[in-house]
This record gives sequence, C-alpha cells and structure tokens, in this order.
Amino acid sequence: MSADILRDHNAAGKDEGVWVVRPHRGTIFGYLGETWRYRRLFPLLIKYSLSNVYKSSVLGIGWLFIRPIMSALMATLFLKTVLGVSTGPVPYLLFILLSMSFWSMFQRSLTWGTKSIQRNGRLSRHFYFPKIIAHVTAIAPVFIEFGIILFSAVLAGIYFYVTGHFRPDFGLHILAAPLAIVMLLLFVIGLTCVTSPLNSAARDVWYVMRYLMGPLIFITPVYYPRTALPEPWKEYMLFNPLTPILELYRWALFHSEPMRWDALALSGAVILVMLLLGLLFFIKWEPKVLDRA
Amino acid sequence: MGWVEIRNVSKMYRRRGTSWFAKIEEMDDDDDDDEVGESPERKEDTHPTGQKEIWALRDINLRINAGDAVAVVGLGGSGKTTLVSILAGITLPTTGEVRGKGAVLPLNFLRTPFFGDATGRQNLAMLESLLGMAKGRILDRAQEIASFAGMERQLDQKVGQYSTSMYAKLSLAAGLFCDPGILLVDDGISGGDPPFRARVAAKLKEVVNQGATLIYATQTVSDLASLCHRVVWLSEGRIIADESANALLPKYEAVCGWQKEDQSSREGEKEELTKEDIQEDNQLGAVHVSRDTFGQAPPSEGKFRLVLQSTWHRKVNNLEKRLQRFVERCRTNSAELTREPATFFRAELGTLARLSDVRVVHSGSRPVFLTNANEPVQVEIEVEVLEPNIEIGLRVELDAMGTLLFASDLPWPFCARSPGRYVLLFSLQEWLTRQQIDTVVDYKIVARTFFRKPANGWEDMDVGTAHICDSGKERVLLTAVANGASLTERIPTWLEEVTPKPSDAERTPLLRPRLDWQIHRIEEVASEESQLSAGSGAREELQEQIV
Repeated sequence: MSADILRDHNAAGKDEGVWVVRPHRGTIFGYLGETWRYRRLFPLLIKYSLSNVYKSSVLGIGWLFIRPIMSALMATLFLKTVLGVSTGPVPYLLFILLSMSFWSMFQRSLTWGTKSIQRNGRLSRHFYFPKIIAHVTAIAPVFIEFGIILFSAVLAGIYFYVTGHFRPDFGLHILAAPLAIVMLLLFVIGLTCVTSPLNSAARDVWYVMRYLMGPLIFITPVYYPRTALPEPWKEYMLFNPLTPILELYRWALFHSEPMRWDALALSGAVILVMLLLGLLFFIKWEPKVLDRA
Repeated sequence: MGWVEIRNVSKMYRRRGTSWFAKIEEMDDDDDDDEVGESPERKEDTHPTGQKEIWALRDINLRINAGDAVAVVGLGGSGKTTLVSILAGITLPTTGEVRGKGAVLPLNFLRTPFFGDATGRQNLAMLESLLGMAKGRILDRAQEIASFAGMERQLDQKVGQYSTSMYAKLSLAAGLFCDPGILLVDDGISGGDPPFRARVAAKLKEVVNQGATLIYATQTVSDLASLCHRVVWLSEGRIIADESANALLPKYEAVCGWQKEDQSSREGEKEELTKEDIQEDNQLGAVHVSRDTFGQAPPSEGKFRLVLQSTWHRKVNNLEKRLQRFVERCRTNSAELTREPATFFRAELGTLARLSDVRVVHSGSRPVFLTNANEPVQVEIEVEVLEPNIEIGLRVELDAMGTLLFASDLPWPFCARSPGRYVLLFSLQEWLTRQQIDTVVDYKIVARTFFRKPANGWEDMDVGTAHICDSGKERVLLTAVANGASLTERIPTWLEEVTPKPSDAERTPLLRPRLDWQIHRIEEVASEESQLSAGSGAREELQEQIV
C-alpha cells in the first residue's frame, strides 16, 4: 500500500485493504489520496463551519453590511474627495467596494484559516480524517462577507450604470475574476497551512498576523490603483504576490487598467510553491498538533 | 473480519512547564524523586530544553486476531486511552506501527453531536462521512438504529432539542449497527438508561459473535468476564500481563478494584490479615512487572527508600503489611517501615514575606477523611514576614476528589509591624459544619497568600501557594537494607501503580462565594515587642477577633 493510513471505505462486509498507522502521516500523494477518499466531508464541514460561525449572531449579518460600506464611504471621502486619488474612468466608490471585497476575502480567510485547528479541535480529537479538509473548509464563512460586499458593489454599479457615470465593458475577460479569487484562496490556504499549526502551538501567531495586516494593506493597491504611484514604486509593488491577483480581479471587472501578465505568472508560481510548502508543513505538523489538541 | 497487530508502539507526549508555578512544582517533584531513588527508566524525563517527556505507552506488542474480544485494563493514566486513540488513527505513535484490517470504529468518540441545528438523521450522515464509510452504511439503517435507541420519533428532530444522553444513545446504536470490523470502546460504555445499556451489551455480544473484533478499555471489571475472553493489563504504558480473562481478572480486581476498596475502608481497615488476604497476596506475587525497578542501578549502600503518597492508603488494602511482605520477599537484611510527617512545599515570595509552612492538625484517628464530627481539624498557616508593614491576605481552598469544594479568604489583609513568624489558625471543622458537609474524602488543602506593600496598591500583588498534597499529613516510608543484588527482585504491581495525581493546572477550579474566615489566633513567634495590625481600615475589628 502506498498510502500510510487507509481506513476501510468499502461497503459493509467487504473489508479489503490493510491499514497502517505510523508515526508520520506519509507522503503528500498518499495524504491527498486519503483526502480524496474523504471528499464527502467537504460539503458537510462547510455547513458545520458556517453554522458554527453565524450560529448565535443576530446583529452579525447586519454588521457585516455596515462595516465594509462604512469604510468604503470613509475611503471615498478622504482619498477621493480630499486627496483626489484618480481611478480613471471608474467611479471611486465602485473601485473601492470591489477592492475591499477582494481584501476582505484575503483578510478574513487568513483569520479563519489560521484559527482552523483551534476551531476544529473537537472533531480532530474524536475522528480520524485528513485534517486538511477541516482546515480548508474552515475558511468557508468568508464567502458570506465577500458576497455581501460584492452585492453592495453590484448595487453601486447599477447606480452608476443607470446614471451614466460608468459603462463597464462586459466580455469574456470577466471570467478572470473567479480565477483571481481561486488564486487568492490557494495562496491563503498555502499560507495558513503554515500559520494554523503554529497558531495552535502559540496563540500569539494570530496576534502578530493581525498587526501585519495593517502595513500589508498599504503595500497592496487596495485604496488606489497601482498606476497612481510614482515610477519606481509602481514596479516594486508587483513583487507583492497579492498585487497582480488584485489587478487581475479588477481588470476582469473594469477592463480599464492594462494587465501585467508577467507579474501575474510570477505570482502564480509563488502561490504554487507556497501551497506545496504549506501542504508539506501541514502534513508534518498534523500529528504534533493532534497531541496538543 | 478485522485484526490488529501492534508492533513496538511507544507514545511520548511533550509537556511544557514554563510558568513560574510549574517550575516550583517541578522542584517539588524533584525533592520527592531524590527520596525514591533513581530508577533506570522513569515515566517522565526532563528534556534539555525544559520540556517534560511523558511516555504514555512503551514498547507495546500485541496481536489481536479476527473475532477476538480483548479487554484492556489498567488504572487511570496507564495508557488505555492513548492506545485506543492510536488504534483509531486519531493519535500517531512516536515509534512503532500498527497494522490492521477492517473498519475501525471508536465507539466512545461518536458521543458528541456536531450540528445542534441539524436533525439526528443529518448528524448520522455526518458521522458516516467522518468515519470514512461508504454512503448509506449508517444512513440506510437509520430507522433500525433509531428503534434500537428507542428514538424513532426524535430521529428527524433537531439534535439541539435532545437531552444529553439521547444523542449518545443514537450514536452508540449507529456504531453497533454499521457492521464494524474492529470495535474500540474506551472507558466502558456509558450513557443511556440501564435497559438501553443492557440492550447495548447484548448487541455488542452479538456483533462480536458475528466476527467483529472488540477492544474494550476499562478500569472497572464489571461484566467484562462475560464479554471478553482475553485481558491485557496496562500499567504506566506497558503491558504487564496478557492472559485469559478467567485467570487475570480476579488478580486485577484484587489490586485495582476501587469499589471494593472504598467499601472496606469505610468499614474500617482490617487490622489483621485474614486467610483470604494472604491468598490474595500470594496471587499478587505472581504478577510481576517486566522490568527490574532497582536492578540496573542499585543504590550505593544497598539501601533504598520508597515513598508513597498517602492518598493511596485507601486504594491499596493493608498497605503496610503488604509492604512488609514485599520486603521479606526481597530477602533484605533489615527492613523498617516508618511513618513520617510529609514535608510541605514552600513558596518563596521574594524579599517581602514567605509562606513558611502549612499544616493540618488532626486529632482524629483516621486522617484520610475530614469530618465535622468530634474531630477538630485545623489548618495552621505559618507566614514568615521578612519586611514590616506589608499587608498579607490569605485564602484556604479545600479540594476533594479533584474538585475545588470551597474557598475562604481572610476578611481583611493583616499587617505585621515587625518581621517574624506568624501563625494563623483556621478551623476547618466549623467551616464544614457551616457548609453542611459531613465528610470529605481524598482531600487536599491549598493555602494561598497574597502580599502587597500598602503604598503600591494591589497591582503588584504577589501570589504564593502551598499545598498539603496528601490526605493525611503522613506518608509511608519503607526503608530496606539489602545486599544490592537481592533488590533486583521485582517490585509488585500494586507498588508500581503509585502514580502522581494530575496537577492542579489541569483542573478547572470552581469558585464559590467567599465565606467568613474565623481567625482563632495570630501568634507572633520571633519577636515579642512587635505589633500586629489589620490592613485596609479593618484594624480594630480584626484585633477584636484576635482577642
């Protein structure tokens, strides 16, 4: 048997494979194969993490609406009206709402992902299953907030369309938006595969990350288009792997700024490496984390 | 249908002891260890980085054939749960490997529901997926499962509306009806009413008869004999016996049968060994541990001392007589059994003051129990004040069977005008009477002190804690002198079983409202001219009380 742990997954009475429990979780391929066998858990655990997050919050959903819209309005007021940041033909409010939908997805999924092991402790302590499933599904709640901000952006878009301020160019390129989101999520999964086990060992990891978010939003062109920056900085910013993805996302929806495909390819490579390293790290740490859970 | 083979499995947990308090506790542990003498393999080894290594399992080799029903017995902390978790794949071993065939079903882990908002049926679907089973293996039989648990009507109700035991019943039934290859039961089967448990026992037998393998970990032996034909006895993570149920269960019961021991100690300890006891003792002699505790590193002078925390008095019948017999069997030159007062843990609190000693003064005959009848029990707390004019607060906590029963604070901090030793007396008896508690068994008293300089306010409050770590202020010391080699005689199992209780940090305290503290006497030992006052404006009232 190539995989290290094979639990019975056959129909009743037809027990076949011999399973082995060893001090480690085995190779990455074995682990992914095992994950595939447990694929039915994905929808169930997504439901589980959603029901856990918004179980007893009455104000919860309302708050999710208020927070991004307030900060979008504040950003519009200060950055557009006072400082005069230019976003080309795109109305600033629409620009910031879409950028924020992207950023909130990054930030929130990093939060949920980093806390995944902590939150799924009970399941992990009681059942054998590849814990990567619980880890990946733990970030499901971000889609709710993402959807809410996107919905506000769509409302704003309709308003600007009707009033004639902005006519978006709808074409096939709009399909790049989901691609950008997928890239973002893969990046976050790779990153949190490292931070989540670390956070279960030392809770300060999460606090450090929360503080890192502050500077990070400024070196990612969320509040302004990258083209608004002076010359050398415009290029430097592309080294942030989030920048090309965010630009791809906006390019798909506005089609206003030119796309830097070379930077996107680099970013894609970074994401793949991150994902691979993250998975290896996660698999290596899983047993240690379970001992502590 | 399913078999398991365990090869050289060991499991080590790392525990980090970084806090100040944990360090002090470790120092305390070390003191004890010196007296015990170094055994070549101890359960805990301190890692160079300060981490403690705890070996929950050591070199387990076991082959369980298809259709076997095996009981794994052992006291708490002997490694049963770790073994079950490793078999279930939930915990991974540190070394060695486990091979097996057949669907593994850890029955006890199914007990808690996952979706409070979902119905029983939906939770069963979740269970099916979590166990990695084929679709429908549980769900197809949902109706049958519900009727077994007597819950046909509640199956499609939300689990959040169930009572605690209802879901346990449902999941237990699900586990029994999904044709498991290897059934794992940890800590016996609990949950549900007696008729349900009887049904479970019957069904379990049926499942085993149909060819499933059963591994049943438990501390108590009731109804094991009828279910399991083979018994594996774990102690400190090692297999110390692996025999047929008929041969081993009586021995296990004799050594570790809690209920029996409790009853006998309530009726009063037997003073003389009866014939049965001797027989039982001989049986015990047959059970040996697999390692020589003193064999590899005999003490230089051929002398060793063995210290038993006396909470174990009541758990081992006639401890002293058994010890003496053990010494005789060791062919020692001389053996001496003494009781001496336990030395208490002292907490140093910088340069302000220190909690010197805490004693429980019993006048009763049976120090294992705290009773409020005719046995004045007092806690003497000795505080050494190093710097005058600091305010000292005190709290006494009574902890029984691992739960904080109640706590009481000194109503006002007292303030000593000059350095010296001060003794505070606290009557536990009155306390118990007021709480309407008749008897406390297996208790521990913790005294905590709080110091502050009045000028600084309570912000830089320092906390010191003293434990009275055993029930009876005494511990049994066994001193034996032998010719080195003869001590390689194996130590009997019931001595091996003396394991430390879980540390305080692992327990969650249950705080009760503060009770009034009765100060009977505050005595100043060192200097006679020194004065005493109460802090925080309560001086006069306190002095009245002192009188």
